[in-house]
Amino acid sequence: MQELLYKVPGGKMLRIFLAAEQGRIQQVKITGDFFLHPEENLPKLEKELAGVSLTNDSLLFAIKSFLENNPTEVYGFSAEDLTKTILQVNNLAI
Amino acid sequence: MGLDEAIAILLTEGKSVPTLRFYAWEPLACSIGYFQSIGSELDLSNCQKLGIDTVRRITGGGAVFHEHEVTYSFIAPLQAAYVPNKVLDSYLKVSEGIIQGLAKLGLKVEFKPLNDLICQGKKISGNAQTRRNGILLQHGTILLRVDVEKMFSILKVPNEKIRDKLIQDVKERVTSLSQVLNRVVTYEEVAETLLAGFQQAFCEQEFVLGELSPEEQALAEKLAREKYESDEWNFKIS
Repeated sequence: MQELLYKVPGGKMLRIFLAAEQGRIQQVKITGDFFLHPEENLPKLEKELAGVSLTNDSLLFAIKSFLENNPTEVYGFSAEDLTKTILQVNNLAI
Repeated sequence: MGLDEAIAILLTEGKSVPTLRFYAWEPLACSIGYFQSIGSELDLSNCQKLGIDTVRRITGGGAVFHEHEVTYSFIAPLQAAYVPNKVLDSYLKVSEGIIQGLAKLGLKVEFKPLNDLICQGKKISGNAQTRRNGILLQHGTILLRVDVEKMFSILKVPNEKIRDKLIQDVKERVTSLSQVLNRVVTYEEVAETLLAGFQQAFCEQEFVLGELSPEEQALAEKLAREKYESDEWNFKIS
């Protein structure tokens, strides 16, 4: 898996592990020193992102829809930050 | 860690009371946040060599080396009148106990969202909370002294070349009570002043000094054995 550490400006650290295949997420692990309530929603989000196309629009849409459907309070990064970081990890692999 | 969770669980069952607890770590330990990758954050072989325990918290946030500090935990029902609903407000409210406590030592401490307390421009306390089953659990640490070099022998650095720079950064960002007061500060003194601060911040509440119940202790030991000492928990994000 590719790994990337990214400090969100004004936020927390994101350390993302990503396995991608043919432009889609195979598996993603979202780790870092952020806060997310309820905590159990993070592994759910990771599952939801499997199979999502690694483009800004698809990823951002998937993350935002998840957060809308599963009320989650996140402190330390936004859906945009997460999207950007995942795409950056993917760029390492290319 | 086991005790904090045990009290939270028993509180949901009406078998514990809302609790403010002060403690320290024996043996020394390094805790990581709920969402952190333990292998990426900690130099595990060095921790083992130095006899430092490692444990994943049930709260988010970063890695903390627990050496010279007072650790507290605050466990109360979310529906209690003295617990604000919003996450940020509740951090502020609990922090108010620490702020008022440290004011008694003559210090001006400010809350820096989301979870830091700042004294003389530097971080002196870090805090983390979780909300589960209707219970707020917030724990945190107030630094008595800080040994940044030792801290960095335990925390993993992304690149050896920047170790010195990271140490320098932390020295510029983090302080301790002995530094700002320029004298030796003891655990007992700080725990006492913090208790007075919490009594002031939660002045509508009566605080009663108590012991852990046998049930709390038994559940804490069970959780320590079955959860907090297990690889399944600590390495759940390896």
